Amino acid sequence: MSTELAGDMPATFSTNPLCPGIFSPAGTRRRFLQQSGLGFGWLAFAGLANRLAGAETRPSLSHFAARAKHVIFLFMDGGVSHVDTFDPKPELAKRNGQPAQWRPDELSQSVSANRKWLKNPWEFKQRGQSGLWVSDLLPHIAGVADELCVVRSMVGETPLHGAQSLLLHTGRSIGAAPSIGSWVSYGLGTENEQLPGYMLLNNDWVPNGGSQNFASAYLPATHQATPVRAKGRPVDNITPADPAVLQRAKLDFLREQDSATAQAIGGSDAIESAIKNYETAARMQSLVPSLCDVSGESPASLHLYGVDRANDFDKFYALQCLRARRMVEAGVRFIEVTCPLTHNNNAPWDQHGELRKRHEENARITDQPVAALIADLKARGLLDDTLVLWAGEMGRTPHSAGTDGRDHHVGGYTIFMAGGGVRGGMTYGATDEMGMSAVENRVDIHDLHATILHQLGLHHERLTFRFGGRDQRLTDVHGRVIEELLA
Amino acid sequence: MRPCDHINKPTSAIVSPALLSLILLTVAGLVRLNAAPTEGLPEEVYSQRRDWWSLQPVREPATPPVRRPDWGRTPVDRFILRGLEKAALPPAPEADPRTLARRLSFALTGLPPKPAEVEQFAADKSPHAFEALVDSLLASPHFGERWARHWMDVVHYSDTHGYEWDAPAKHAWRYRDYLVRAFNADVPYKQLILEQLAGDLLPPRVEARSGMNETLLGPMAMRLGERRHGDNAAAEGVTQEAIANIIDTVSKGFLGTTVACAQCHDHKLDAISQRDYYALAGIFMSTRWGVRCADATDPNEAVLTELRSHKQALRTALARLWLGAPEALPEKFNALVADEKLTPAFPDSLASLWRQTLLRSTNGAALEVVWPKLREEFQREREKRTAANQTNLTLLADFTRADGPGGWRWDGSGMKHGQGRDGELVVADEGEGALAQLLPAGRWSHTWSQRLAGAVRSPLFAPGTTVTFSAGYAAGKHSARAFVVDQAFHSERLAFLNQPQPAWLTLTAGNFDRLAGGNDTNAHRRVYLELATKSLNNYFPPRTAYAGLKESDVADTRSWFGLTRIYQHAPGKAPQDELGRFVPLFATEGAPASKAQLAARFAEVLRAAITRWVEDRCDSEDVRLLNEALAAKWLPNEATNTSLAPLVAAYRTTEKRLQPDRTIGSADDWNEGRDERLSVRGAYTEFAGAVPRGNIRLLNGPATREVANSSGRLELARNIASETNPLTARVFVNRVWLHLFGEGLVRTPDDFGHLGEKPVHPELLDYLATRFMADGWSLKKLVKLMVTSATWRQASTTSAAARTADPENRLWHQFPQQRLDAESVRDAMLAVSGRLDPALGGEPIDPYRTAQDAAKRLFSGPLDGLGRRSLYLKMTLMEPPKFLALFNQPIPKLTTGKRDVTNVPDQALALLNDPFVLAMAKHWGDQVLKDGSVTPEARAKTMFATALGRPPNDEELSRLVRLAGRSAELHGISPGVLMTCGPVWQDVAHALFNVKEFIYVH
Repeated sequence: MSTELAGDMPATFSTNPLCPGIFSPAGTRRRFLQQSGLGFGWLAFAGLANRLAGAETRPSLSHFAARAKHVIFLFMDGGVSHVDTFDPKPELAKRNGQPAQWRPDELSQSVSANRKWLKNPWEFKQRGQSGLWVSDLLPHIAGVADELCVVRSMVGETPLHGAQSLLLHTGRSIGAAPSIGSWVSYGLGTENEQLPGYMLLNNDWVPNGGSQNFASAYLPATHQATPVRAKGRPVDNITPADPAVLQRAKLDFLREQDSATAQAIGGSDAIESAIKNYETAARMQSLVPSLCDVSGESPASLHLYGVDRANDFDKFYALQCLRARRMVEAGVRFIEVTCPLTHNNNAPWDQHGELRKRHEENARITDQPVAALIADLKARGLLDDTLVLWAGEMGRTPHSAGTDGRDHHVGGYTIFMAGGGVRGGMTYGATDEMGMSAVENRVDIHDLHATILHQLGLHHERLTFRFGGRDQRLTDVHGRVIEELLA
Repeated sequence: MRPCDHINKPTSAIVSPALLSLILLTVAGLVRLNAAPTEGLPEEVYSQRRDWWSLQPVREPATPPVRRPDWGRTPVDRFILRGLEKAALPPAPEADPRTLARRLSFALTGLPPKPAEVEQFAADKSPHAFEALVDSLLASPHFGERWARHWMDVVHYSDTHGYEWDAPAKHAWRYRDYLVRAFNADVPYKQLILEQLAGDLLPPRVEARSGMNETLLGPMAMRLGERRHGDNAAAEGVTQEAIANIIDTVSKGFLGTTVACAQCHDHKLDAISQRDYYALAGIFMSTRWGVRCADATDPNEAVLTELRSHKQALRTALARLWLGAPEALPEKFNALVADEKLTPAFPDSLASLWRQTLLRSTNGAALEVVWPKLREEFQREREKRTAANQTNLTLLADFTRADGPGGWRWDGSGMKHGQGRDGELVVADEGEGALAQLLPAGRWSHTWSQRLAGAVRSPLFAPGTTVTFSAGYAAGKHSARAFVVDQAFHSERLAFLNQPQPAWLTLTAGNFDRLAGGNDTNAHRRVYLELATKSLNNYFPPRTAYAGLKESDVADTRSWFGLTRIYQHAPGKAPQDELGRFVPLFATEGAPASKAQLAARFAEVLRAAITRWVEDRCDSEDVRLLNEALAAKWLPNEATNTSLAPLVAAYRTTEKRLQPDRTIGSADDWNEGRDERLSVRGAYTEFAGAVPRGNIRLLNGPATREVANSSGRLELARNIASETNPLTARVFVNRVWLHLFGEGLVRTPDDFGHLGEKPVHPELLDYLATRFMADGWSLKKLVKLMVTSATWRQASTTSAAARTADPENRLWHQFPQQRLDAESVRDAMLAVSGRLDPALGGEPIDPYRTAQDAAKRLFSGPLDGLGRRSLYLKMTLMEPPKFLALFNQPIPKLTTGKRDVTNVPDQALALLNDPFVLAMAKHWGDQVLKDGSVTPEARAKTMFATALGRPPNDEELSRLVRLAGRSAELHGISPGVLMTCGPVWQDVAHALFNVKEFIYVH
């Protein structure tokens, strides 16, 4: 608003989710659609939505030419150690075991006298043509280094999992706001009328921050994530309870009975729309399972991802990555893959202790499938259209209270992207010599969101939804597109 | 920084001139505010915004004239008819009786009517039949359940706090049951406002049946929803986020006003400044969010009387045993081998003193030399320590006296009955010992039972300084102590206490950030100490495995602690053991001549202590000796001892009859109230001056001087629960209208400000508000007034003309068709299938889940929730019940005055394939096999009527019978056994659940 406020936002600034900002005309079209039951159907099924919305017109929400049509978000839940993966700090090794001292700031959680610098247990090497630094913890990902656009200067708000997870997913550290997946689904609409726009390849694991991470909040419910289990029935209620002929008999009965009811009360949009839902639901019962079924994939493909690995965690994570590619092919807009939790812990990558053992275990599970996904997308010509985001909600402290653990760190950490029109083989931003604070080209979550939306052809300030009297945005009142990352 | 970018971008083209001028004024106002962000709205902006329909006093309107006065049953109808006549629209005809019966049953109780009741009503031609039906449903206990659930959307009811660990909202279900009771008893809404905002400050309203103080249950309303762990000293903003949520809920919920909007800047369009936000914040920041015991009458008096007499008998028996065999005690000492090392420190127990004496005296041989030295050492040590204590210690609180705790407060029935003299005995509630221990004078939660609750809370420690103190205490079974910083009650400054014998607990309170070597960003913080047993501990159970806690520890309802005295002192100057219990041992100068004599002297010290205990004149040093003797088994204490066994058994049996405290997260006003500083642009670490706490300027402004030392919460509650408040009654009657008619008269029920919608029928709203207040703020009378209107009794039919003229039904030309809410969809299946357990209240039931997460205590419950209504499923914030979420039950983080109603294929998938739906279909299909029907037609007819509240017409009946036949065919069932074949009727039941009419009312 005023120039005197320009400059960096204080890290503790409250982003108030409760705050409506501007006048709302009565009964907006979208709310009408949402509440009258004519919503953009579970996907809206765009055909129906467009037909029904008709004169109401759903505006073309894309604002300029898109570089990408899909996003695959590989969520590294718990926080991968940046100084052990993509952000080498030789100084850490030199001062290993020495008392750690740093300028206290509001982003640091562990302020304590008894902390020591902890060197990286895994060796860093330069990889590929680009010479990008990747440690030996992630050998497969190192193999696709030339595709990676690494940001070493991510900055969060609070060193707590719940806050950071919600921030990464919804742009708010607390409160009820839609997930980025819901925004993308809402913004781009669907390519496939029979499939959800946002699919979550999960295994019933509820991350910190709760199911809110994947929820549509005030956006129409059609844009919330549809969870797809790795093991067992992939989607709730997708398996028909009845043999096909029996279900058909029931559906026929329902169509007759409901049509008569609608007629009797002089027509009902809600009931007519609900009747159509049954036909769509019936088709989804076969479509969704077939999408999740990889038995038709070649042995080479299964092997590339590691679906043939023996360990269940390894196998199922690989399966989900392979499904992610199939979903891109099928037209799903936003696909999120979460990590499995192998042991009793707050989150998979949250290694306050057992850093070596558990980071290696997580790497064993995820490294090969992630690299395979990037390579496979590229081989199939899909990587240009698909933005891959690899990110945890935080990094880990370069210092430690012990000798084999790192704590929560949001003052400067690393994520990477690939494909979707970002530059490969590059790094952006930097932390200080110990890997503590981002000191160059700081990037916050809103900037990341703005950049992702930009690649999808969506202007983050113009992708809005009116709620609580205000045009709400994923980026709230923040965010800048980081042009330097773009090819 | 650009938090307010959006202000300059009104995106809509539909800006009225009036609004445009408001926006321009706003912009002008903001420019001035930037110069002085804390002054509040400029006067001209304020008065322009103040001039708004919802802020004008409620006035009873004249009943409008209409052309068709014959239409209409209540004054409500005149207002509606007036609008219809202006638009030249006729009202819809009255709905048929069966439609009305079903509509009314869902509206008032959330459950479908029973077919027999529908038919009885349909057959009753009396003009009072409908009113009688209304009255009977208003009197149903399910009325309270239905209307409690509506209100739970406003306060965003949750059983847990979400975030990372899904910590419990402490016994929130007691608040849920309180709402059910209150709506059933038709407690005036005005009273419910007072109770929910300031119930802890009101005279008790005692519920006759339960004996609970209902008013103490009310404040849970403010605590529900997402709350972070940690506190401001660990991560800035934790408390501010909680306060923002409270302000949002209170202002939207009771006032339809969006005050939380003004956390970072003045409101964009309403007459609310940032100062108003911090005026309210001061009230809520001055409030402590403690767990309270809600028992108003003591349910345990009779049992305690019995326990007292058992204890007295036990004391007598023990006295006889302990004094009965004088030769036994010296033997105990004689038998003690000196199997420890020689230590320089003076021994602190009889056993150690005995051993050290033997070690120094070559097993007693050199006593004559050693003893005088030991005696001298003792006297020197005793004098030194006594002098140090006199110099070092300042008494902060004395729990040995009823009037002694100063500003420290206790709660819980354990503490209430737990003040005792030196030597009070604690009977072991299990195990081999009769006594667990003897207690020094103090206040002890487990004097009678470890299942009674206790808490002790300190006054606030001043910000910016540190205070070191030591509390004489003992504790066990996961009682805990916690420092609460800035009212954040999920802080992990929580430590479990495990100290069976009395000892000193030395603590330092103050600025924890600075104490931890941090940068001391906020010297303003205030801290208090809480010690509590499990059920009075806000953060119990904490996150899984916290400090080694096992789930079996969570399940164990026992927990205890007590305090004697608390002394403040400099760091490192904690109270020292003055060794008083050894004084008699060294009273005579002469040394014991032999080991046997030494043993006799030791035994005599102990015997004298026993005697004083028996005569009830012992002191705390005697208690210490006796506890040592008990622990060392020098004194008979076996529960199996023939003279003790019956008494111990009687005590233990009686103890199990004690009713544990009924506790709940509530509030108290024990803090000295303090004004909150305005956070510049909402930044948690950048402050302007303090804002006098009180109501927003619109509704009374700062609190009066009378509340100088209190939070001002009661005064705020009175401002809101007031006939002169222009918003309170209007907002509430609009909510009730919304629940009965599907839409409000104001269609933005949580926002009556400039961002909300104006009502089409403002006079009707005022009529209802006036009438509501005149009727004593009675919900039941208000509901009756609305549902008996001709407007509500209209059919859900419409004409082409009406659709064109009034497409959104704003004139109420018909009763709008509505989809059932999530709870009613599920409850209807339970009811129709015969699985419903109509019991009221109780602890929540875990929802059915496809996977559990024990680390977050997201456990899976039975598929059918034991047949209990959806209201009783546990609202775990991290993963609310999925079936209900599918049908738009809101995530309970923010006030939701009006739920979304979506219509999506996953609802169809759920109704077709969800295991709950299938289980209900199976239950119903099995039930009807026993219904006595002879023909498929008869059974289908009954089932149809049970599901939809009306008999089928011929076509519908034959359609359903055909489905049964087709099902039989597909199951390979011959027509002869159709009537006894469960799967066929399950299919019929399943199909009926999927009929749209099942989940709609019209």
